[in-house]
Amino acid sequence: MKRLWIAILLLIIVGAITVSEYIYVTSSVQKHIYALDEIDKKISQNDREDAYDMLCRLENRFEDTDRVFNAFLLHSDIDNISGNIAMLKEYSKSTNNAQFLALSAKTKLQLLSLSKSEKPLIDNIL
Amino acid sequence: MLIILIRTVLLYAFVTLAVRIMGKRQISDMTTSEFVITLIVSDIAAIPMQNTAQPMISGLVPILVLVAIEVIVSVIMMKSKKFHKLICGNPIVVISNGKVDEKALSELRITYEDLDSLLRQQEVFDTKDVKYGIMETNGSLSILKKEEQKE
Repeated sequence: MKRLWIAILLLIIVGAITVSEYIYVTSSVQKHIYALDEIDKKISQNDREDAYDMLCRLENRFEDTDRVFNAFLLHSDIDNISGNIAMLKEYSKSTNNAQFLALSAKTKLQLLSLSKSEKPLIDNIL
Repeated sequence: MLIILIRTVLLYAFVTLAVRIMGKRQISDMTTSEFVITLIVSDIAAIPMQNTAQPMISGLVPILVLVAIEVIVSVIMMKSKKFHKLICGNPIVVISNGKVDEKALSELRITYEDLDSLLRQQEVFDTKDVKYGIMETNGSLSILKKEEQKE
């Protein structure tokens, strides 16, 4: 019977960890996407300095979430997004808005796919 | 490589703990589900050992869940004969009063040669010496020799 209680406890702990991870990833992704939306608006208004500052803050925030993300998600996916944010910082200095907005859209899709892939949907399970 | 080394040590400790939680059994005494889970656990543990791009928790979570499910299933099997039968099946009599039940053998997909081999491992060289031969759910053969053969 002791083993039974250990087994049930293990299931509860694992359930709590996975649910917490799902909530954390989903909420972090939403915040990052929101930040990118705001940065896109700044770029569209040609306010490059503000956009650059916001990108630096986003990069720092992403580095903070990076550790947790790397513990639960594929490292290559996280590295791709980090790389894109670094590229966005450089693109924000150029006058080519289309290039910036294209990469920003791609980064947002990658972020979205992180949270989508964690949802317990039939397509993900299968 | 250092990460692989550390992960290997951690996962080894973790799998040992997992097997310890599942309980002590020899491989020959394991039920089908226990045997399958033991194999799966070792395969799952190998993935994050070799692939550092994959988070270690992607190996730990399935192992924990499998071990927990296995323990719960084994407790339920202890309490419920029906459930035990559903998971493990029933032992099948393959030899009765020296005669081999061919239907039982074909049901188990065992040849005469396989049966003879199992009998020889029990120091029986003729099926006529066997009163009852029962194929257990773990694939082993239990035999009851005829009275005159027991001496």
